[in-house]
Amino acid sequence: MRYLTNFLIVVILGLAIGGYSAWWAVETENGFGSIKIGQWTSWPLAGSVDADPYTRARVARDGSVPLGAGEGLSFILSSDQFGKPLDRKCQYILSGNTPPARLWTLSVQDENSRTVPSVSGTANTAFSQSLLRRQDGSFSIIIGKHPAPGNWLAISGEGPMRLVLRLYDTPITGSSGLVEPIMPNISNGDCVA
Amino acid sequence: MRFPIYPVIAGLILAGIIHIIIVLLIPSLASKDAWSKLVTAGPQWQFTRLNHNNNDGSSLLTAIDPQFQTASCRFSLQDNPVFIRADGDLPFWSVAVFDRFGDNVYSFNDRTAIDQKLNLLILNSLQMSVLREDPPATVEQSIVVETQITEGFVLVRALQPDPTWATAVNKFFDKAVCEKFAFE
Repeated sequence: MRYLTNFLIVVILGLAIGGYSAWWAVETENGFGSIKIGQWTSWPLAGSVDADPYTRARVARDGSVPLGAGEGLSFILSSDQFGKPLDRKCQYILSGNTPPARLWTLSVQDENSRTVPSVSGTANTAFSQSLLRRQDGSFSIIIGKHPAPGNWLAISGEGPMRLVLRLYDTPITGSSGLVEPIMPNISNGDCVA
Repeated sequence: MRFPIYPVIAGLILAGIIHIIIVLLIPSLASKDAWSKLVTAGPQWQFTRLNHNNNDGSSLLTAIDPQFQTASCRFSLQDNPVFIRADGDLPFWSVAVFDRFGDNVYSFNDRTAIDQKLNLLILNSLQMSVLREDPPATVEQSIVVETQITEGFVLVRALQPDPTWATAVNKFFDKAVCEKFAFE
């Protein structure tokens, strides 16, 4: 009886803690191999041969094809300036500047990495070459369901979302060592249903 | 009953082992990884569009930039090198070579390419030595990538700044070639 209890303790602890911790390590946004700049997260080595086992597991599980070092670098933002998860019923304003890149796009994904289309069903992106900018080159983009003046990134639906900023042909990829690039900041607007 | 200290320690050690095994096994067991999705999407040696006409931003592979049109071609270096060519006046395109497990082996964009034309030859060490003996004129303008992988896929991403570019982007992909390279 005592042996059976001990055996069960070993097996249950092993499976539960081992399984949960593996799932958590692959799932979390602050996992191994990620870098944080402000609220933005990036996996510079994702998809590369040098990636750590956790980043590899993450890429394989997602079935994604990350940008290569010669293509660009992508960043993800899933919480506002207070650390609250981004909600599709709220309006957000993203403003400032991006790190140097030949071009960049900003799009919105749901929690399963699928693109969130606008109400009319078409995918919306903010694109660096068709953006209204201030005289100093900075910009602000309004992300929300309801039409807004200026740069408006239209979304639809309910639930969590995250912003994806993809920089193409950028000098800050991979190995160059990310020396505090300037990233745009997010701030909250109104939340209406 | 006193606290079962040894079983708990053994359980934690087992947890560590299971954690490592799961993380290391995910890449080879994932059934929805990029390769598996591409196998169902189209044959080898042929470009398959991944988000053609998908205005809602959906695509065959997860998290593809909706501002881009993307196509991929699966290849095998078992018998022949793979020769990839495309040409078009597009504002931006980029290419990435992945192995069967979705690891990025090589990537570049149109600025890196000669004449901004996509002309890429992927081969293994053995085929490289054959090529070095007598380089054919057809690969003079090519970016030559030597790799250890046997199976993999090439992913071409072409920027479509707005719908007026759709014709040019479609032409770029229609004329894109992904074929076995034959030494003379």
